[in-house]
Amino acid sequence: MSNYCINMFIVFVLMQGFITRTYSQSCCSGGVPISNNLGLPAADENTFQFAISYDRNLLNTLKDGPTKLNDDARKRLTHSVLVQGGYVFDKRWSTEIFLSWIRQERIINQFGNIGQTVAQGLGDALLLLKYKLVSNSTKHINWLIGAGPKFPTGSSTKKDKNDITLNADLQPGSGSLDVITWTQFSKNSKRRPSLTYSGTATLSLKGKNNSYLGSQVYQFGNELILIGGIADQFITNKFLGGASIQAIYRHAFQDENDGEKTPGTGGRWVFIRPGLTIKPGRTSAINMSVSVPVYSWVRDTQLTPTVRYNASFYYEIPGNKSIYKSFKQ
Amino acid sequence: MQASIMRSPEINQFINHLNNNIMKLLHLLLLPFIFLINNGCKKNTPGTGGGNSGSGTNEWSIPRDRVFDGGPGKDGIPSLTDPAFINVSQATYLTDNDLVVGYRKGNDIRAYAHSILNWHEIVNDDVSGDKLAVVYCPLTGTATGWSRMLPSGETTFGVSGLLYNANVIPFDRKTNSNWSQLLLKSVNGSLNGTDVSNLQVIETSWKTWKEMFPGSKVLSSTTGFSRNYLSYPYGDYRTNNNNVIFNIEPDDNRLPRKERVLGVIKDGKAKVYKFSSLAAGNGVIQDVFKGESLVIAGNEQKNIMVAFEKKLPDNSIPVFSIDNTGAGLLKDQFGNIWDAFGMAVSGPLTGQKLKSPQFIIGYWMAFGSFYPNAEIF
Repeated sequence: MSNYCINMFIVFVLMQGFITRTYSQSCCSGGVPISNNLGLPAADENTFQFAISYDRNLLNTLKDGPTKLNDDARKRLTHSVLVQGGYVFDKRWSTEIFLSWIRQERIINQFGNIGQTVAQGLGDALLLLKYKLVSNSTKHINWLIGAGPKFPTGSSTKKDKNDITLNADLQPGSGSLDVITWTQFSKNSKRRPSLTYSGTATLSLKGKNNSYLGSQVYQFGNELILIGGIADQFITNKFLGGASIQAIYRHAFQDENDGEKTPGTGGRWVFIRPGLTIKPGRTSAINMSVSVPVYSWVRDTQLTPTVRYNASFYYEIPGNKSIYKSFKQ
Repeated sequence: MQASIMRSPEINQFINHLNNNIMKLLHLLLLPFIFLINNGCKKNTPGTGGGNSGSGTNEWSIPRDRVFDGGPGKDGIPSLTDPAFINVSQATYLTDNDLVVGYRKGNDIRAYAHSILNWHEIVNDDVSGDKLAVVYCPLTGTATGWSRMLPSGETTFGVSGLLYNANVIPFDRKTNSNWSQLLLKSVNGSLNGTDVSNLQVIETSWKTWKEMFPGSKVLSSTTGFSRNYLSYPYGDYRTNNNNVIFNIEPDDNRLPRKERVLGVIKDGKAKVYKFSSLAAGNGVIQDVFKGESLVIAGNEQKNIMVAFEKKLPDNSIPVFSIDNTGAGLLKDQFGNIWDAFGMAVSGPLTGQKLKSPQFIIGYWMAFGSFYPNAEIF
């Protein structure tokens, strides 16, 4: 029985983490996908948490405002490897850190020729400090808030093979110091405790890259992401698992270049993201999800997300005093 | 009250936790990450492929560090080739204030609308045997007509996706050489240094065009590409002097950056003429640039300005004045009426054509940066 309870708890924790992952998506934000990839699961005090994920974001849909244009010649593909770690200090405080490696691809299939541009390298890094405002085990409610800086560790000066500097959209880093604020609310069903409802809001306040293309000041648009989701768990003879579905609303404001609005940036999107979790062990989990846009409005004409895949592996070292001590030594 | 007094035991405990563990945590987190970076970046950094290069040589005759990738990539802005044309009365996608670029070969007169050029930048056409490429840069507002006949034969031009001083860099599909629109020559590739062969175009508003050339052909909005030709893709760029998406050098502030001017280019130098200057000469400016007598003619209200050499085809010296009848733009003392292309449409020299210097209409910032210390009339 105790094992069952532990397993249920872990699945619940993992599902929390699963349904709070959000991703930045637009033609000009492919370079900073970690900025909204927030929310490791809640865990016991002194727990170390790790996640590594691969994210593939395909932009192959050309839109003019709300209208889809019949042109798929241009393709933008962002591959991201995100390494995420966290530590739970106590019942209230926890922290997360993100490190990323980004590969940006631009593929153009036009007039019978296929051209590809690639830039890759270290992406930006983010540090998030979280505080649990409400943790009511009777009502099965959790409410967390968090904030932190995103550091411009990624390059924003990558060049192509001909030594030509690429634009902001193709850079693995943003070149700016941003501030991320985040909050998450979740509640478990009374009748079915494994059923979790959750909501997340993320506001990303973008800083400025003061040396864009040498002498320009570039600022990605601020970004608001709202997520509502529901998750449940299941048990087979061989493993524990979970399923979830989320609705994601994203609002990106226009980028600015030397203080002027950058055309072809900014918009509003609604995505649906179903997901699946498999738990091979007590302290690990594999998450998979796919995001598809169901509504989008873009400013001017933009390549906009077509489909996004994510797979991640999560592992935690539970809050065991001896493990913690051994790590310290 | 001192801060330390305000700290609760919980906060002190939290700070101690943080101090003790954060470095260990960072080290642990960085290990797999460093592995990824080392194994991922060795092969292809900096980025591989894509941009554009000439065939066989990557030398540029312009500063390479001032050449930028504009974002869409090579052929990401698709040029048009062998486009369809419609009659003036069928061009319902145009409004009176829309700008068009015009070209004339004999009685074959064609208009290429900015509203389409904004999305394609280059139109590869054949105007009664003239292999014409209309090249338009939305960021400098400049339209030029180039011959598609290279030393090695006929070609078409495409959009490289690269910019120099915010100006389009076309490439030719024959040799993959890159060309600078406003330097009027190849700047990279096997044809590096080769001059453009100019086919002079004019520019005016749709209202003026259809009054002057009601029988002309107009580029159809049925281009084979799905675009919204009723929308302008660059926000307030046309009118906002502060909005320069890619920096220019030098940034000459003698005139507002986005003021449309006519620039005459000769021997690597430029002299620009403002629309507002036309009024003082009743629509005709007489000037000398680089030893050549010129006539700049037009009408600010009609949004038209053109340049000619001040010499008739029969070598006589004209005294021009503005003509506002039908296709006419100028008339001379001999009874000839000349249209905006410099074609005599009536009078003793009917069918003959004035010579034009190389001129381009565009934003002042383009001439100020490509032709430093350009003269301003």
